[in-house]
Amino acid sequence: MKVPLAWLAEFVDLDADPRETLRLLVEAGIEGDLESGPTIPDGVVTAKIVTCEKHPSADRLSVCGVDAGDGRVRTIVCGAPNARAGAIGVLALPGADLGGGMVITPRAMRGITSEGMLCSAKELGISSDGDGILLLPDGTRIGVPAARALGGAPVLVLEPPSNRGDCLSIEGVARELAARAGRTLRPSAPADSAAGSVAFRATIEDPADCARYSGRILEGLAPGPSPSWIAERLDAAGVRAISNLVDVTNYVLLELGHPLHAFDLDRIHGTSFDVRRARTGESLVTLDGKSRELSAQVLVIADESGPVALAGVMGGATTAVTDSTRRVFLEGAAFHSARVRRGARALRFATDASQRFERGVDPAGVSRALDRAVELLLQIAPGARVAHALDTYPAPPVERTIGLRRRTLRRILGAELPGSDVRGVLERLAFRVVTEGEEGWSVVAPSFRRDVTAEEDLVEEIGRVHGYDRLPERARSFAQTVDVFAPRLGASERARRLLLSMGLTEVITPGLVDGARAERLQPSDTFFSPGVPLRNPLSQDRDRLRGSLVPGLLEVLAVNRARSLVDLAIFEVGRTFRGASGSGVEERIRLGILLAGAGLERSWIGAPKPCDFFDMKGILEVYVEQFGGSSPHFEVAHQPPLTADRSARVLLDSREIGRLGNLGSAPRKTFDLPEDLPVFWAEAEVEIPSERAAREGMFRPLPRFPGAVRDLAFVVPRALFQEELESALAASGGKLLDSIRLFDVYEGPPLAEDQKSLAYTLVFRSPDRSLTNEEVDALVAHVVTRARESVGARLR
Amino acid sequence: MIDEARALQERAIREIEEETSLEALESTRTRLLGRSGEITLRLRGVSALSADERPAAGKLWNEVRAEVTGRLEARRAVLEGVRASGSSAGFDPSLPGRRPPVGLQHVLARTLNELALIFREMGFAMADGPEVETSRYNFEALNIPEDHPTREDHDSFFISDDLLLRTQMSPVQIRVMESTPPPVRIVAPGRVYRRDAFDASHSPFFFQMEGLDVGEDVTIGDLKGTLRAFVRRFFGEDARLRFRPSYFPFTEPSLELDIGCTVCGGAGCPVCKGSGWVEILGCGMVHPRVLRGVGYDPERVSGYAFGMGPDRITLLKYRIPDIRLLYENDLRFLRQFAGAS
Repeated sequence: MKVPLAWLAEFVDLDADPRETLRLLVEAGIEGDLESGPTIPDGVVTAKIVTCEKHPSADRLSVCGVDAGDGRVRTIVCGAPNARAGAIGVLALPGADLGGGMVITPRAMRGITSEGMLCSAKELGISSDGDGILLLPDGTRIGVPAARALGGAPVLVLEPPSNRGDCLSIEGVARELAARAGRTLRPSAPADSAAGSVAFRATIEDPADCARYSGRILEGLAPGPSPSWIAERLDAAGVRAISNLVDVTNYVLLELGHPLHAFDLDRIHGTSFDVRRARTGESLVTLDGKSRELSAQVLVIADESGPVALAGVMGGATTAVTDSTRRVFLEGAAFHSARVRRGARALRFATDASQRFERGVDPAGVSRALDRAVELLLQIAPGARVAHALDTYPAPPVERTIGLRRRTLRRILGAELPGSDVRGVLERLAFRVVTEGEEGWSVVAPSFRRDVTAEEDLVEEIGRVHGYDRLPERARSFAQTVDVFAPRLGASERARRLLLSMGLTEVITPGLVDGARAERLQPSDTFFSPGVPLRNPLSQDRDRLRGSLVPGLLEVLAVNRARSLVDLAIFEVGRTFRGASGSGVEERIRLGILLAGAGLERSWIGAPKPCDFFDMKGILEVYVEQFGGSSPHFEVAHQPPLTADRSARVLLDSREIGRLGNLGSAPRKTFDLPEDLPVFWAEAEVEIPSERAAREGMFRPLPRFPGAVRDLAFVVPRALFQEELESALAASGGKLLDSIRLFDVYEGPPLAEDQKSLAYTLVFRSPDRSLTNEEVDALVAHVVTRARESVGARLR
Repeated sequence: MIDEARALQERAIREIEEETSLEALESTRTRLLGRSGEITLRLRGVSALSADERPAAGKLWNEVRAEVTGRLEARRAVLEGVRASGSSAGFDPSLPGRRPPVGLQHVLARTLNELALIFREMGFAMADGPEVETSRYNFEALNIPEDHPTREDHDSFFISDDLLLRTQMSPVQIRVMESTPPPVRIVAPGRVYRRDAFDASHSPFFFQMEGLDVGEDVTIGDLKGTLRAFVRRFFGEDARLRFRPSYFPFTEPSLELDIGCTVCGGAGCPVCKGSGWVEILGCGMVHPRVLRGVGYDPERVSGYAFGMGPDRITLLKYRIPDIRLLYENDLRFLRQFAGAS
């Protein structure tokens, strides 16, 4: 809302510095900015072009005689095509500094000395319009500093809180300012409009829709332009002047916050209005020329012929005022905010008036707003007279007293405020203190403060006008508490820290993804959720709550690859979503990992090693062991199109807790990634049952006797998974086999093509004695035999 | 002779500067200044000249010898320095070290952790709730009935008639209060969603952290003291702050907390739109209706709540100009905050 300071000053005294006014309002709870006009330098004045002739030796220039109001006509050479005799422009006199090093001096142009410069809007810094000189309306006073004529006073741009409809007016803003600064408010006090002789009635179908419907009938109007003071005020407030009648309704809306509407009385059928719900099948062509189908959601004003206006939203075209209007019905009403909102929503459009009604309009102020409009019209439209005053006000609200206890004030504000302060604040805000006693006060709120209904609202009024900065402050310390309300945050935090400790970089991606694309990437199954579609997405590329973290990570890769960064080792811990039975949504915290290019490898020595399946697997092994307390099992899985040929499920106690794999061709095309870039992804649960982790954390006695180390290399079929041999070795080694570690895998000559060699270090150890060589040899022989028998491995 | 002396001097200097080892430099020295070196021989030849030629020639060749000797010494110092640094032995400690990878937390996660740490140390427990909420928890229980204008600022993404993506962290307050009797002191960080188009300062998805302190004898004084302590911890001891009135449906009174602009120090700049103040959080005393709704007795207990935007606070603290940078995850951006903790 734009509030011109000069207008505001009619209602309350202002400080000289507009910033001070803004500060007071902000402290009262009305946020805003100060918008100042362009700053125009000294030595630039309004001036009239008295004569304008072609320059004798330059086609494009003209020589003007310019009167700057000081009784002397200056010669000005000008290149603008729109310079003409009689026009009023803006003249920069010698000495004026237009900025950017442009200081005006008398200077010869093709033999004629120019004593200044006629300026364009661009040269004045008003706009980017550099075509021709800036011309001002005829009749503009000349010799006036342009800073005054053009710059204009600064304007407050305010944003009152959404519950304070009463502050959406200049008078309302003034009231807040007066209360905060302790100044006197000068409210608008128009005289009552005298009733006349014309008969006109209005009936309200349901007072719940419209608390009050009033009007004034004016006759003898002569439509025409408003006087300049009204036009300028409207302009400063950001409203275009149209004609006296319309301008006055806008003026009152801005000043008092009451939307008014003018009907051409001669185009109304009959002598009464009904304020009622529209009936099915009714329609209305509104002022903007659009035909609107109405429903019972919409409140209308109807005459004998049917609806003539959408109550509180927009008038009808057929009854609108025109240049030939002589008699008007000026409507002022208090339509119910929710009714106007629903009506506007049903019709899918909103107007300044409807938005104003939605914030609540004070029924008690309707009459005064009409009287103010009448006062202005009588002043600016000579010959106008009031012919009728109508007021339908079926149930004026009953005044309610609200109790305010000293105890509550103290309990909330933490301070004991003197009774005189409390009373003073309330009265400055136009509240009426009915009684004051030991316990507290009983108070009546002014009719326009519809937001104040209970004790706590009064506490806020006292607090904010007294000033929160003046209230005492205390900082108490409390014992640390346990995070019983956040069982899942702990697991997320642990997962994050573990991945950070492994050197990966954390990312945070949008929780919303492109649903169709996500589904193409990875059809949903028991592990991957399809996500949860939004009913009303902003755009198709963010139309679903993610079911997996992988698409988001691929987006990050794509963004970085577009900037030539392909060596990534990133992770995200966040929620994924799955529609659950019924209409619920299951939220699962998951860990997503992506390795690309060289992954974590950053050495300058040797060629960078591309990341591979086992980099990713290693990360997951560590992760699951830390979280689940035992090693996961990896089971081959084929899951195109997301993965190519290397993918696996991660199982813990035969429950699937993760997946990993290399990126397939289809997603590479989607994200514009080359085929030869190594890319591995993984996703795993974060909430892994961890009872075992707790048990595994217990102390075990350290070995007291040395272990016997044996390296054994086996030749096995190439197709054999090493884990089969490893478990055969483990099973046959018995209690004395302390550990097994794979240290080499070899394929190639002299081995046959379908063979490979696996080499292990075995450590044998007894808890209570040193093993003899003979014992160990016997154990090894047994292990080798069992390996041959169970998986066909032979010692190399 | 002067030409000959100059030519020899120039050649000698060139040769000296081109040597790259102390050994080679020594042999050059011998060749020039040794017992039968080129310059030594010339000097010796001076005595064979006539008496009137001798002084000038002696002076000339002595100058050459002095200049060349000086250059030799200078070059020797350079080469000795190189040897001392060891490169000729194949050891170059100036090569980059093999750095273990360091995990970088996201700058937003860093802010969330810092905020959580500060409030935990003041005795607030962490709390958590679903991102997909019911309209009751997101709105009605917070005194935001249908048709309330606040709903327009909280334009929501819907999943079904009743389920929506939470637009604020306040539902967690309701859930916690419903599950436990007072006193309650919690902070709840998490993701929230609103149907705002992406631009430099808005995102349809962002984080919020809300706090709640309800108990007997909790006043605005506690709100002010606690939040001042927080601001000092997070923004620095000299941070200035100002409380001003505002409006939220779930608090009464409602306040907003501004801090002195961290960029211009209060003088006025584009970041603070010339006002010298930047808004960092909304707060207020929990509305009695909200307390009653969760079964608390507003005559017996009172409390304050606050909510802040870690995204916005991150932008402010690190002077990041565009919120979209947070969600784009350009590695060069993420790495900038490696040492900022």
